[in-house]
Amino acid sequence: MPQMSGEALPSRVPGGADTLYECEFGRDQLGVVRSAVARHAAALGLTDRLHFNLVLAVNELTTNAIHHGGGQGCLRVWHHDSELWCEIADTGTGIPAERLDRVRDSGPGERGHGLWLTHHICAEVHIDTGRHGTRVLLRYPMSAAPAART
Amino acid sequence: MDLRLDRTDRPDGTACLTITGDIDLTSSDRFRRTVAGLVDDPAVTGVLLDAARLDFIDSNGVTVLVKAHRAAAERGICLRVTNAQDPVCGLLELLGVYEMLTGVRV
Repeated sequence: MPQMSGEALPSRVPGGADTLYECEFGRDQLGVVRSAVARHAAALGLTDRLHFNLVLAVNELTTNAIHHGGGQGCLRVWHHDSELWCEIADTGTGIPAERLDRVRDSGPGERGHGLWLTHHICAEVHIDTGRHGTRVLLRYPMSAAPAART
Repeated sequence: MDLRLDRTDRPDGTACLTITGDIDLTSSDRFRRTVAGLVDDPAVTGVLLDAARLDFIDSNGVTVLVKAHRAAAERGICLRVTNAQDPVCGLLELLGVYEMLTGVRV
């Protein structure tokens, strides 16, 4: 597995949470990470589009970390109070403010689909980004798609 | 799962590409080159992408499809995605390209 470089961002995993999966990833682990997330999503009872979309959201953010965030990152998945959470952290140079504005203000473009998609798939997305790295926290619906956002 | 691409050619000039596995950061470039090869082939009169066994595609993969569809249209031929499974259809719908890529009205 690749080694993280620089100072890792602190975790937000709350006490009492049931950590399902944790790994460091790089380009060669994208498929392995998808398989692991798919396995845990299935064990939690997610099926069809909810199952696919969770794997997609995690894939988009791990891909972003590899492509824009220094080539590697760290993923944590946990279950807390009947909710599924994922945290994807990298030690890249952060997401430019204008790119974040574009994601919020527009629909899918030719590039930058990943964050736009993630916002539409997940119940909640928190992005903490700066020159020392990016951490994205997802809250994922366990029973119904966030239809109001689509 | 790795990506496997199998081409068969129909007598009418339609090139069919059967897609098996996952399209992600590690495979989308090969997928793009393969589809571009079909679209740019002067002997090809249409492109059919069979997605029945496409297990996963990310947003960059969908962008490859959209650009290939545009390139095909510029050449005056039709590129269609067929047999996509429900979650993949859902993604294409969410990105607003389902009807364009499948030719099926939502």
